[in-house]
Amino acid sequence: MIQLQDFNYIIPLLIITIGATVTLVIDAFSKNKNVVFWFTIVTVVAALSTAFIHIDIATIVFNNFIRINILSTTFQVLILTAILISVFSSKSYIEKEGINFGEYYSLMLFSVMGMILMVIGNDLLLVFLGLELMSICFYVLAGFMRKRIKSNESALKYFLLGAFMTGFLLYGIALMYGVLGTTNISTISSAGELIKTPTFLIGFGLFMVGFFFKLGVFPFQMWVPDVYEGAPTTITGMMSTAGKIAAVGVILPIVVSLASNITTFRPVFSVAAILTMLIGSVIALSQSNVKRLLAYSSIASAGYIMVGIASMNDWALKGIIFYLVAYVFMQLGAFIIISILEQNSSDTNEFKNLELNNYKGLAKENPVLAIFFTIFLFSLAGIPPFAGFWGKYYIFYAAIQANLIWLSIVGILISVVSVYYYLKLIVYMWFMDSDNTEYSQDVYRVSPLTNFAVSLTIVGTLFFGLFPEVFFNLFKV
Amino acid sequence: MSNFFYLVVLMPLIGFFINGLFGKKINNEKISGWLSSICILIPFIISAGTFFELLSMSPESRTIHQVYFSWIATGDLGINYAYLIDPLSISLVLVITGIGFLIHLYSIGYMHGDKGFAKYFAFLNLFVFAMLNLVLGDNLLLIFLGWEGVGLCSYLLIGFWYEKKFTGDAAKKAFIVNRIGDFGFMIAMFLIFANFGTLEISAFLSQISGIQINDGLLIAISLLLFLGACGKSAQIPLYVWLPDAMAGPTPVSALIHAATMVTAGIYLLARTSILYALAPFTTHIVLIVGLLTALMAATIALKQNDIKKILAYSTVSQLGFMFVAIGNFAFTIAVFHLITHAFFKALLFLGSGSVIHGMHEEQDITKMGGLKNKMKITFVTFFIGSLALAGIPPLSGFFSKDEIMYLTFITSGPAYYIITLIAAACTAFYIFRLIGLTFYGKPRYDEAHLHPHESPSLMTIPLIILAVLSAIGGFIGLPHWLGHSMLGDWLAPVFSGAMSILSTYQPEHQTSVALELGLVAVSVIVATTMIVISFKKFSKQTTFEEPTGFGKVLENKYYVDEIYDKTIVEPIQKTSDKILWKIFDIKIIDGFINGVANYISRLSFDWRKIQTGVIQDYTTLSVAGIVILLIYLIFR
Repeated sequence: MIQLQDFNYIIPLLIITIGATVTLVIDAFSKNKNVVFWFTIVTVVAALSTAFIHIDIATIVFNNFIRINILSTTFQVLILTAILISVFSSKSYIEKEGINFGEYYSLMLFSVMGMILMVIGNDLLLVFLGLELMSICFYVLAGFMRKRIKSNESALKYFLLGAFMTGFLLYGIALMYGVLGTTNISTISSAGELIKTPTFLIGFGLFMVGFFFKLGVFPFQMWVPDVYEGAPTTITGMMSTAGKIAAVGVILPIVVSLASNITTFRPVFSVAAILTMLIGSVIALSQSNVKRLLAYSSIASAGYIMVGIASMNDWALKGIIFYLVAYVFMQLGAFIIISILEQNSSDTNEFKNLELNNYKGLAKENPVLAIFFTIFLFSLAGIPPFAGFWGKYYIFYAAIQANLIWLSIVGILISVVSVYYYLKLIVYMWFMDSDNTEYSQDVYRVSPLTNFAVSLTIVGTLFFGLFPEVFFNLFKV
Repeated sequence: MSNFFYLVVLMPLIGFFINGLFGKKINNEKISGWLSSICILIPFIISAGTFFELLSMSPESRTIHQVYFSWIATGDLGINYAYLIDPLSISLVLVITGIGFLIHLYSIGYMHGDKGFAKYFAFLNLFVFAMLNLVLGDNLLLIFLGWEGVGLCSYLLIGFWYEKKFTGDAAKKAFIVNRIGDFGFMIAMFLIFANFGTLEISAFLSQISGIQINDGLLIAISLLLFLGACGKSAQIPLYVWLPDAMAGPTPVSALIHAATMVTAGIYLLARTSILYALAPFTTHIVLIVGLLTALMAATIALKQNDIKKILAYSTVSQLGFMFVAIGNFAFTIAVFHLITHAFFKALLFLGSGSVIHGMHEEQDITKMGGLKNKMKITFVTFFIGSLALAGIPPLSGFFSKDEIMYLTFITSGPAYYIITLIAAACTAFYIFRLIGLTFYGKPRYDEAHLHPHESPSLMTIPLIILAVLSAIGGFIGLPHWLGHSMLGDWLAPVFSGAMSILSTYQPEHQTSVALELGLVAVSVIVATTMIVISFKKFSKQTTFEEPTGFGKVLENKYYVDEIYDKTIVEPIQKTSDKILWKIFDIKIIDGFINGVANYISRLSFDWRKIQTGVIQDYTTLSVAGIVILLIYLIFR
């Protein structure tokens, strides 16, 4: 029986749903794009603040379809934070790029709807529904710069591969249903010995593959550089943070709750982790485009998350969640700065100002942006006292606790490689002179809203770097 | 008031951020200066309130432990961001914020017109923030955070006028020498964590209470902590940075290099008093180091001509006195001297700043003279401060210094006492040499071009307040033959643990009022004689000759800097240049690293080719991955 009070637990979802629909309507009737923007902000802020209401509650509602507990709340808060920062940074970017259409915001909100469904869903079908809702919005958003060939390429590749991989995901769900006769996640978690049957394990493996694709885990990472490069930069930032959080939000609780029955998968996850870290870090070395470079770096981060997944213990839960907290701030911050420096071009085929060479001498021309970017890169490289350090630290700690000492040693060695390309960017910014005279000065005129978004990310990166435990004081994972 | 105690630490941090981030935009000296002064005044008021709150409790329960949040929690290491408010820490907080506020006010006048005005106040606020963390932290890591923080601010402020090469060099010297001490601190922390599994001081101290006297581990830990203290508090052999640190702005010398930061070492030893009571071996070393430093620095000060250098060596010498007190297990007296010294030495530094300000950046006292009538307030306050330093009753320095000398006599014996007496005699001599040359006699500067003038009231008011404190500050710790030591009662609960350990192995010392009065008389007579001789000689001196013989050795500070250069700095530079750099680094390390790096970048160029951009290839790779997974799952 669905009871009326059940709706209490999904207030953030309801707010986002209503907001997404209303923005479409507003956009149809109002010429003023600011209205849509501010309405979106109000919607996300309202959802974010109501997400905290049930922070101490663990319950299952809507006929076992919705699971509310500290994990789902944490993931919701993280997703909404990432979206809030993305929305703030979007306005001036889409104005600059000439894609200031109201659907942009409502598609964002619809994708959030999908993400929230994924992390609170207690049924594989609901999770699948959320995943598809999110993905379809992402396909459209990736191709939002419809006059640009790269953006179109990005959307098409993402869509084709996404549709292809969805088939495996669904097949996996079907096999699991075939064994257990249910798609309910709580029931699956407590199924015991049945989980060890080969059919179920194959189903589970295919299910995981579907999410590994979304995370960009080797060998399903091929789409990442192409899609991240072609999509609008603010959307890239959102996909790589909120999208990943939602995917992790589905598989992490399942893996941890099944841990003792799926030890077969530990070598699989470990090998995938190493190859993902290695491919991401090594190929990033030879990239000359900043967006592609960060795309490879985000593949490497997926590898670190996989180290946590392979550990399958409570420390991994904590470690991955903290890594995601840091990731929201440092990754979004980096992409926002790229979006600030990116230039509108009359030539519709090319993005401009995204090559490493364009970053030469940035420190002289705009020291504040250069300092911020440097902090984000240091944090991504995992250098203290920034948040990214603790993320990696907790994850490798989890691996050591799970007796995967060799995995953490390999991981740490690979992350040394990754320091190289982050530092390379920093060297370009600080120690090279600009050889680029075609800039117009107003590239560096940053709008106050974008400024606000960058400030949020820098504060987050520094604050959680200095006081890592504060997060867990609030979210008692 | 303790409910708002977090503001005590937060306000200076906020001041730092405002001045640091927006100082240039505000571009207004009044706003920047007053804002950061208020960010110190409010903490002072709150900590005064907290002080009275503690006072209203019963003596044994005067401890407030405030845990703000869990800072780092991983494995066995759990560290809270927590403050321990007890009589010892609150006393120091009052000194830091009280004197800190006066020095902030003074700085508004002193730094007027400097192009780094806002930056200066930002650093000053950051310093106070770090210093408060140092004295309030309930665990060694938080203390270490403050410890490094004050070191950083000291570095930044010594090198504040970085356009001049020698200020930059002085800043680097301070930083590097302090690193040696910090190294000791860190190793001590590691030892404590490895052996006792905690970094919280009270937990650590209660765990060691049962261990026997002079246990090897405790000696190691206490020696390493003392090495840290030697760095921060400028003791032999690490004192060399402090005199050079005078390159910074004078109020900085007053705040950081006289009143607060340099006493951090004393605080650290007092905070871990139980450890030192359990390791009398180390404490004896503390005593000897303190004695030698006190004597050596006081003799060097006799022959210096730079007004700030004299005061710097005087500070080193007085810090030596404080370590002598700790060496005699007289923790209360060490803190007492710390407080009175903070009053009169801050006063003397600020007074010298006022002189330098009035003389348009002249620091050589042989080029001064006759300033008495031109700078009346500065002169009177400086004179009071000097009397306090020389130990003339009833000024503050008299009570604390004589107590140290008396305790040295009864605890360690007459031989040690004589050394302190010589150091005290030198102290009286050099400070009145300074007074005679600066304020008396005929002007030795170019009167046609230089017109010394009194400083603005923003600078003189702090001088007057500090002069009053230097005059009456000693009454908080009256010796028992005269009355009752309020400070002694106040701090007694903090040191009761150490005292009870001490009573188990140290015989009760025979105290006698007659002996004490006799020693007081001796030291007062010696000090007065020295003052008179020095004053007579230097108030009329007009010509200056190059000193010869031992005087030359003193003028050159026993050639310690030169010896360090020859024996430590140069060999290190040579080894690192000839062997470590040219052979080890370039050939071995670089060869290896470059080889690996080249290999990986070649790998990168090969691997990037898998990214063909063709979607069929992408799907092929994905399917291959899935097939391998299925094969593994079926045939495992």
